[in-house]
Amino acid sequence: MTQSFFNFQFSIPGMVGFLLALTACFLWWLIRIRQQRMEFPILRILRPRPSYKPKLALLKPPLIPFLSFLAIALSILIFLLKPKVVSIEPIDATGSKVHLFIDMSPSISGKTSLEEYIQEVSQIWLQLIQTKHITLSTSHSDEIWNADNQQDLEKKLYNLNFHRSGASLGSIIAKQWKIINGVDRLIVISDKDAHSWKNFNWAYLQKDTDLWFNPVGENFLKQSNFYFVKAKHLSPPASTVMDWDISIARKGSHNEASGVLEVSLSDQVLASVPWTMNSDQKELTLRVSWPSTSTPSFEGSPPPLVWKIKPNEQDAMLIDNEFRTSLKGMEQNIILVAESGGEQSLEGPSHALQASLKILGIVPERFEWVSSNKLKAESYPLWILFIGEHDDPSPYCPASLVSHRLEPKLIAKPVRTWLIPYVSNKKSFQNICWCYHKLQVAPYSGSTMPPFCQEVYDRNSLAVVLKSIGAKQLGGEVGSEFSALAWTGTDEKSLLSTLAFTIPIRPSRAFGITHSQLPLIVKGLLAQSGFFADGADQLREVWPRISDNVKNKVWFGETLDQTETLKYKLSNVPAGESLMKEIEKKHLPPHWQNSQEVSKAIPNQKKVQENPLPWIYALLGIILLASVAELIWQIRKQRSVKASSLLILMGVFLAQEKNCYAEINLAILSNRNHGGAAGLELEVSSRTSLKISKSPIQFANFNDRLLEEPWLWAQSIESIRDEKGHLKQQVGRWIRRGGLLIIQNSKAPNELETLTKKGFDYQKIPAHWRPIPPDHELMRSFYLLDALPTCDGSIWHGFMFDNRLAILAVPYELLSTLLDSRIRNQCTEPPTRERNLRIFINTLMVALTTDYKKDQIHMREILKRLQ
Amino acid sequence: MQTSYLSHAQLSSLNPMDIRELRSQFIKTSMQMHGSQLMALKRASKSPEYSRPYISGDPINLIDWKAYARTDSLIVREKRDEASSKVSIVWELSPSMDWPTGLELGKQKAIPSKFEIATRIALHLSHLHLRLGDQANLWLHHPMNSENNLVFSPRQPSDLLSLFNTILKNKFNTQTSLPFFAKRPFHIPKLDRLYWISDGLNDLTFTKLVKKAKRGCFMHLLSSLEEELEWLKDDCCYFDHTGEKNEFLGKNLKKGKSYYQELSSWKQQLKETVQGVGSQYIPLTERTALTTYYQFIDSLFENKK
Repeated sequence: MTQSFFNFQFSIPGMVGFLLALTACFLWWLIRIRQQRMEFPILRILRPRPSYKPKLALLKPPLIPFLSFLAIALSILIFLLKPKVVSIEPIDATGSKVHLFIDMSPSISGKTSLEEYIQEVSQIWLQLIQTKHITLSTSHSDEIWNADNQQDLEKKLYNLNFHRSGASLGSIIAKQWKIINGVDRLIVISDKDAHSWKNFNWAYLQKDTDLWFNPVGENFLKQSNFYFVKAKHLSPPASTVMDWDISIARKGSHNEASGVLEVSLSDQVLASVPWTMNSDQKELTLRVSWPSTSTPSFEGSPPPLVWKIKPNEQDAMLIDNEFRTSLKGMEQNIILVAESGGEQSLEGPSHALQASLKILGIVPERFEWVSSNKLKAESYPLWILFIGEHDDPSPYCPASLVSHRLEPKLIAKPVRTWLIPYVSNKKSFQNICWCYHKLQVAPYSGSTMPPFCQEVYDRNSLAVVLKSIGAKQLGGEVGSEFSALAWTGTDEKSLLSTLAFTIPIRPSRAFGITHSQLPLIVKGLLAQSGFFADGADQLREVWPRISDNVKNKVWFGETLDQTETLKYKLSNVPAGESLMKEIEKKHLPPHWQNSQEVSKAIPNQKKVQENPLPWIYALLGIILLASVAELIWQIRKQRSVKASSLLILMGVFLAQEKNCYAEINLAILSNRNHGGAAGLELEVSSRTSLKISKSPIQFANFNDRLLEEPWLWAQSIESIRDEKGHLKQQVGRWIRRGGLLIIQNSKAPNELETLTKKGFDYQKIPAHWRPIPPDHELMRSFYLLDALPTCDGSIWHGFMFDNRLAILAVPYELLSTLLDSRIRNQCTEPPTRERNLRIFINTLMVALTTDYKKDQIHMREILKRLQ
Repeated sequence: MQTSYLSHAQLSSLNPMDIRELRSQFIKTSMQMHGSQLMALKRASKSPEYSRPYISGDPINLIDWKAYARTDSLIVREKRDEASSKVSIVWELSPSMDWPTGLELGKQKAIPSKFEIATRIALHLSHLHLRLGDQANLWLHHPMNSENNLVFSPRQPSDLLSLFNTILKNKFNTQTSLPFFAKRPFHIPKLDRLYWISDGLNDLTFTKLVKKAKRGCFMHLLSSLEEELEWLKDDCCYFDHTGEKNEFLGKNLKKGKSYYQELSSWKQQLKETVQGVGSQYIPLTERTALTTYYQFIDSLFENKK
C-alpha cells in the first residue's frame, strides 16, 4: 500500500478534476473574502460622522517640488555622514619620511643596559637608512636631528644617556609632532612602561601617520627594584644633630633583602645605615642621624645631600637608587634688617626678637640696612625688617623684594616678610604703610610715598589704610580692626607674603608683651607664616621628581643658570618609573613580533587627507538650486505670494549678522553735569544680576532720546512740564506706553496734581496721586524697606496709572548722591548712601518689571531663591 | 381595563378590520352614524351624553331645568349633527418602503417591511372612516413616478377585507398588481382629512397637498432596524443606492453616538416641518404597541369636541 501510494501517477481526468476543484476552491475563497454589502436606505438622509481616522490618500506629488525635496533630503543625509578623510596612495619607498623616536626614560634602564639599547636602536636605524628622509628624536628634549652614520648615532645616544626625570610619551611626542610637521611613518622605540604610556592617545596620531611601536626589554629578568619613597627632615634649623626619616620601598620579589643606606655630601659620606627588609615587606622607614658639626661648610649655595640605596642583591634599576635632597640646618636662612641700637644695643627693639629666634633654634643673619640688589629675595625664606622713622625707608624695604613680586619666576618659591615698626610713632607707621604698598600693591617700583600713606598718623589709621588696600587682619578681636596685631597679604604669583605689624615686637608693658611671652608669640607667627613647613615639602621645591620631561623649563626655551640646570638634570626619578609596571599589548600601537620584521618599517604607501570642502560646497549648491526651483514653482502656482516671497528671499540674501544686546541706561534730564556712573554700576552689578551703563544719557533740555529708555530721571518738575504746568505731551504718551518718570526735588503736591490734570483719561483708566504706602512694590521689589526717607517733612508720592507706578515724586535728589560726582544731599537729615542705593535698586526693579512678585510666573524662582 | 391582549401586541399584528378597541365615543359599531364631520348648528337634546356646563351666552332653551332642580347647577344639553367627511389616505410605494427585505437578519428572523405596516395602517384607517360614514380614498403613491399613482375608493368594509386578503396572500409583495386600484395622477380635491404614511426618505409632497385639507396627519413610519443598530454586522458594508455613494462599515456605524444623534435630529426637523403646516406628526415603527397606536387615533378624533 505504501509503495503504491508513493508511486501515484496522475491521469488526465484526474488532473482535470483536480484543477476544477482547485478553481472552485479559489472561487469560493474569492467569494469568501469579498466584502459583503447591504442596502440601508436611511443612509441617504443621515450623515453620521464616524470617529475613525480618514483614509490616507496617496496623491501623486507635483514633480518639481518632489525632486527639490528629494535633492535637499539626500544632500542633508550626506551632510550627516561622517566624513572619511583618509585614502591610501602608493609612494616611492625611497622618498618616504620616517621618524624614529627613542625613549630614554629611567624605566628602560631597568630592563636593558645602555649599550644593548643603543645597539638595538642602531640596528633599526640601519634597516631604515635606505629611505632618504629619516629623522630622530629622544625623550631628552624637543630636538629633531639626523645621524650621518652609525657611529654618530651611537655616540650621541651615549652622551645623552638615560635621563632621571620621567617621560610621558603623549606630551613629549605631541610637542615634537608640531616640529616634525608630519611624516609617513612614526616609529616609537620604548618599553611598555605604564607610567610612560599613561594618557597617550596614540590612536589619534594614526589618522595622520602610520604609527609603529618597537618594544624593548621584553625578555628582561624580573628582579627587585629598590627606590626612595620620601625623605623628611626632622631637626629644627639650628639643631646640633641632623635627623632624617627616609622611606624606601621595593617592587618585585618578596624575599628577604638587606643593604645599606648611605648619605653623602660632596662625596663625603655623612652616615651609613644598614637595613633589612623582611619577606613580604614592601616599604621601610629608616632614621638617619649625624652631628651637624660633621657637615662641611660651603660658600654660596651648598650641594645636595645624595642618598643611596646599596642593596646586597641585584637591583633592576640603578638610576633610582640615588635620591637628592637639599641640605638643611645650620643655615642662616632668616635675614633680619634693623638699625643698630648703638651703645644701648641690648635695649634695641630687635635684640629681644633675635633672642627669641635663637631660643627656637634659628640664628638670623643680621644687617643694619640693605642697600643693593645682591641679596636675592628667594635666598631667604623670611625677611624681618624693622622700619624706623627715616625719610627714605628704602634700605629697610629692599628693592630685591619688590622686583621679586613684579618679575615672578615660573616656579616661585615662597618668601615671607615681616614689617615691624622700630618705634611706635607716626613716621614709622607711614613707612610701614609705604613698604607694604610697595611689596603687595604697587604696580611699579615707585620712589614717592603714596598720598594715603601720608595720611597715616597712628596705629588705628594704619589699620584703616592697610585694610582699604586689601590686607587681612591678624590677631586682635574679630570685628575690631583697631585691635589687630598685624595685617597680612600675599601675592599669589610670586608667593611673596607680607606681615605688617602695628606694634613693635618687643617686651613692653604698654602692649602687654612680656619677656616670657615673646618667644611663644614669635613661634606662633613663624608657624602662621608657614616657616615650619614639612621638610619634604621644601624638598619638592628644590629637588623635584619631574614626571614629564616637557614640564622641564628647557623645553619651553628658557635659559637657566648652571645651578638650576643641574637641579633639573639631577632631578629625582619619579615613583611611577620605579614601579616598572607594564601595560597590556592590546593598549599599545601595532608592533613587530621580532626584529626580522623591522624591514616592514619602510613604508610604500602613505595616507592622504582629502579635503571635504568641495563636497560641502557642491551639496550646498544643490540645496540652493533645489530651493530656488521650488520657490519659482510656488510663485508660478500662487501668484499672490510672488511679491512677498521675492522680498523674503532678497531679505535672506541681504541680511547681515548683527549682535543684539540689551543695556539699561540712566536717562537723566538735568542742567547739572553728574559725571559717570561707574561706582553705581559696580554696586548694582555686585548686588543684583543687572548691569547698568556706566555712561548715563544726560541732557540739559528735554530731548526725545530720553524717552527711548524705560525710565527718566528729571532733576526737577520744571523740566518736564509746559507753560501751564501740565505734563509735556510726548512725556505723557511715553508714560502711557509704559515709561516710569522719576521727578526729584518734588516738594509741592499741588504741582503734581496740576501736572497730570491733562493727558490721562481718568474715566477709562483709573489714575491718581497718593503717598507711597508701606506695602507698595517699591518697598519690596528687591530690598525690604521699612520706610522711604523724608526730606524736611516732604514725603514720596506716586502717580498710579493703569494699576502701576507711572510717576514717582522724590522729595530730594536721590540720583545725584549716587553718581560719580556725588552731590551732597541738601536735606537736614540726609539718608545714608546705603539707604539711597537700596531705594535706587528697588526703583530699578520696579521700572523694569513693575510688581513682578505679583506675577505667579516668577513664584517658582522666588521660592527657589528663598530656599 | 386596557390590560387585554393588546397590551403586548405590536403594530406588525394590526388587523385592519378590528376597530373594537378604539375608545372614542364617536366610533360606533352601528351604521347609524352619518360621518365624522360635525355640523356647526346646535340643537337641544335629551341625551345626557351631550351635556356640558352652562357658559354665559348659551341659549336658554338648551338648559336642562330638571337637572338644575336636582343638582342646583346649570347644565346645557346640546347636540351637533354629523356629516360625512372626505378623507384621503396615502401611503408610499417606494424601494425604501419595501425595506427590510428580510436578508438583514436572515430568513428566520425576518421582520415585516415598512410597506406591510403602512398597508395595514392605511386599510385600518380606511375601515375606521367607512364605519363612521365618511368617504375614504386610498392612494398608493410612487415618489419616483407620481404619474403611476394608484387610487381605490372602498364603498363598504367588505371591499377592504377583500383587498387585505389579496395583499396578504401575495405576502405584501410590491411587484404584484393590486386589484381594485386604478392608475391615476395625483388629483386631490378639497379634503376634510389627509393621512400620509411614509418613511420620509423620499419626498415631502405631503406638505404641499395638506394645504387642501382641513386636517392633516403625517405618520412617520420607520423600521425598528433603523432605530437600533445592534443588528449591524461589523465587517459588512452598508450603503444607499441613490444619491451620494456613501458606504459605511457596520462597526463604524455602531461606533459612538453619531448615528443616533443624526437620527434624532432628523426626526425632530421633520416633526417641526409637519407641525409647521398645521398637521400632526405621529412616529411609528412595527414595534409600536397597538395601544399606543390606538391612543394616537383617539387623539385625532377627540379634537372633534
